[in-house]
This record gives sequence, structure tokens and C-alpha cells, in this order.
Amino acid sequence: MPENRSNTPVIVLVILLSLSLMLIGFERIGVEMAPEMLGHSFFSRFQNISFNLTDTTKKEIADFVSLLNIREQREVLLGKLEKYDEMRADVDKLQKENKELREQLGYSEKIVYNNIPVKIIAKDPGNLFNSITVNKGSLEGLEVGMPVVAYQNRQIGLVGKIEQIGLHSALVKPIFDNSSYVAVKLFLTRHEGLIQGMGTNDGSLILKHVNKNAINEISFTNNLVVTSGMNSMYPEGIYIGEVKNVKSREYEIDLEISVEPLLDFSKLEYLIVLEKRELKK
Amino acid sequence: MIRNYLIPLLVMIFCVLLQTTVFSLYLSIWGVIPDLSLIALLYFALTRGSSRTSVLGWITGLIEDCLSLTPPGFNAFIKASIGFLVGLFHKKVSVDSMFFITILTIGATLIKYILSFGLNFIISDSIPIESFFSYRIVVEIFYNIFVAGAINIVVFKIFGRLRGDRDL
Repeated sequence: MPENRSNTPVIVLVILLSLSLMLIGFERIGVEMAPEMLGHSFFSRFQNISFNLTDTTKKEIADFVSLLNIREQREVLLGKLEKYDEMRADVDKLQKENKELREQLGYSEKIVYNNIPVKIIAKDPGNLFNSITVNKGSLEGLEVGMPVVAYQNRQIGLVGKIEQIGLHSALVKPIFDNSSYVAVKLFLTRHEGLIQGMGTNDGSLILKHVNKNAINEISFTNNLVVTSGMNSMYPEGIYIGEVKNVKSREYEIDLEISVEPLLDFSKLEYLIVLEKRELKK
Repeated sequence: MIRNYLIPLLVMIFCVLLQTTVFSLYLSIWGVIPDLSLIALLYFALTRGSSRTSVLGWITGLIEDCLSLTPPGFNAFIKASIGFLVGLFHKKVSVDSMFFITILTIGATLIKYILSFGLNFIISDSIPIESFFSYRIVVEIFYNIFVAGAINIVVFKIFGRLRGDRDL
């Protein structure tokens, strides 16, 4: 493309920006973007490769560091302990891995809904949107709209739902995304409301549409927020978080309740996708 | 063709993959990741000019849109615009100058958020206004400056000396 003609860059830019606006417009009026899905399927394969490479490198580095430690110990201790130390490091690693997998498997088996365990391979490329890419897609049985949960610190919490699907990958919209809404109720007082994400990575959530009259009944201790299952794709009774703060404004008829999520979203590695309303046989 | 489009595009795709996997999973600071593709775009804009970089930015943005929940065209619009604007400094600013790269990184990150703010009206306010005034923008600017500086040192100071060549 010759740069010497002064109008060329402007014409190119105008064409590109018009195309972008057209694409945005198509999406806004609900036109299915097949190329986007194909693009997602194609590039998420590379994300998977990149994730596996990084994961392997991370493990190799961890192994290398632990090997260095073992070498130091070997110098201090007698050669007799050398083998034992290496074996112990390997056993620790395997035990940790085994424990994690057992927890995942144990929970997966406990769930009353049919479920598909998945692994997080990537996250959103920008800081304004929040999405999580997982390593399974339509060919593994995932569908758009399926609820996603996670098991952390012996508790099960809601993560979000499948928003976009590829052949071997899917994009999960987390509940802390600002465009995410979940029908919920307070576990103790049974008041119903709607949870909205704040779009921040710390997972802050706001519970809206809870009647002002409920203010005297809402306690701050152990007041958990769970999915209500009302008009929602999420099954009833999945934990979301705990009431942190309640605001009552004179000019509003509803309360605004801050909810601290049960899950630490930054530490999630594995997720579990629930098959909608299908109970295990 | 290969030098002007294919190699830069492969570099940009590599940056997007790094951004979404390595940085977002392991190297985020307070949940904020640097915009590697934006930084790479700056370097390509300064060495290749507006037309080529706006096309490059548009394709990269579209790939990001595929891997994100953003509406298709959102990042493409932003990256094409930034590629065009920074490309205007082609042959006017030294690409290995740490000072100019820092200024351009700050400018490009701010332009990215200003354009996002503008496009937000088109996509029915999907992003809350508070997001545009949060600490995350400041953290991203500093993280971008740090990464751009690191790239500058590696590419121009070390690699450039080894090759005796300052062109990317």
C-alpha cells in the first residue's frame, strides 16, 4: 500500500472504522456472528497451546527450583539421603495434584446435576470486559447458557454462565461482569432480589430490588445469598456470597446490598459446567 | 507483503495470546494486565506508517473481539484508530527513544479508554462509567510503560546492538 499519497491512510481508516461500526451494529441488532464464533474456535486452539506451554514451563521451573533446593540439601546431608529427598519432592507434588483432582472429582460426583468439569485456559485480553475461556466446547457437550460453578475451600459457588461457544472452547461470562444479572434470595430471610456484577476483578456484587421493609430483618452474620431459581437458567440454591453492607436511600424504594462473593475468582483453575436442569440418572 | 503485514500480524497474534494466557493468568497486577498488542502496535506504527498499521490494528482488534465478550468490531475500531494516529509520527519520532515511547504509550492507552468510553454509548452502556475512572487505568498505564520500556531495551539496546540494525 503506497504511503506517498496523502489521502490513502485516511481512506483506509474510514473504511476500517465503518466496517467496525457495521459489525458492532450487527451485534446490537442480534445478528448471529458466525465468523466471530469460527474466529473464537480457531484462536482459542492457540490459547490452549499457549496455556499448556506456559503451564508446562511453570511446572518445569518449579521442578527446577525444587531440584536446586534438593541439591543444596544433598550437599549438606549424606549421599544416602539424596534419593529420598528427590522421591519426597515427587511424592509431595503428586499428592498435591492428587488431592486437587480428588476434590474436583469428589465434588463433581456429589453434584445432583449432570456436569462437565473444565479448566480455565485464558481470560479476557482487555481490562474493561471480563470473560473466562475454558478448554471444552460444543463438541464436548457444552451449550450457550449453561450455568458454571466452582469448588473452592470446600464450598460450591456460582461462577457465571456460558456466553459464547467454540468447538473445543467456550467463553464464560462471570457473575461479576457488569452485564450479568442473577435472580437470588437471601438464605436466612428468604427475600428475593437481583444480583448485578460491578465489573471489577475482585468480584464485587450488588444485590438490588430487595424491598426496603426488609432492612430490619437482614442480619450481617452468616447471611448468605443463593440463587433463587426463579425465571433463571441457574438452578436453585447455589451459593453466591455473603451480605457485606446494606444501604437504604430515602429516595429509593429498594435496598442496595453489597455482597462479598464466596469464591476468590482470581484463584480459580477448574470450573464445573452444569447441564441445564438435567438431574443425574 | 511478508515483512509489512505477515510478520507484524504474527507478532500481534503472539502478543494477544500472551496477554490472554500468561499475563492474565499469572502476571496480572491487581487484576490488571498490560495491553501488549497496543505496545507492539506503537512500534509497528512508528516503523510502518498509518495505512499499514491501521489495517494491522484492525485485524488484531478483531482477533481480540473473537476472544472476548466485547461486541465484534469494538477492539478493531480502537486499534485501527490508534494505529492510524500513532502512524502519523512515522519518520518524525525516533522509534528507539525511550522518552517518546513512554509518551506515546501513555497517549495510546488514554486514547484507548476515551474511544472505549465513546463506543460504550453505541453498545448501550455495557461498561459502567465508574470503570473509566478506576485505579485500573492508572495501573494499566504504568504496566504498559514498564513493558514498552522492557521491549525497547531488549529490541533496540540489546538485540539492536547484536544485529547493528535498528529497524524492527
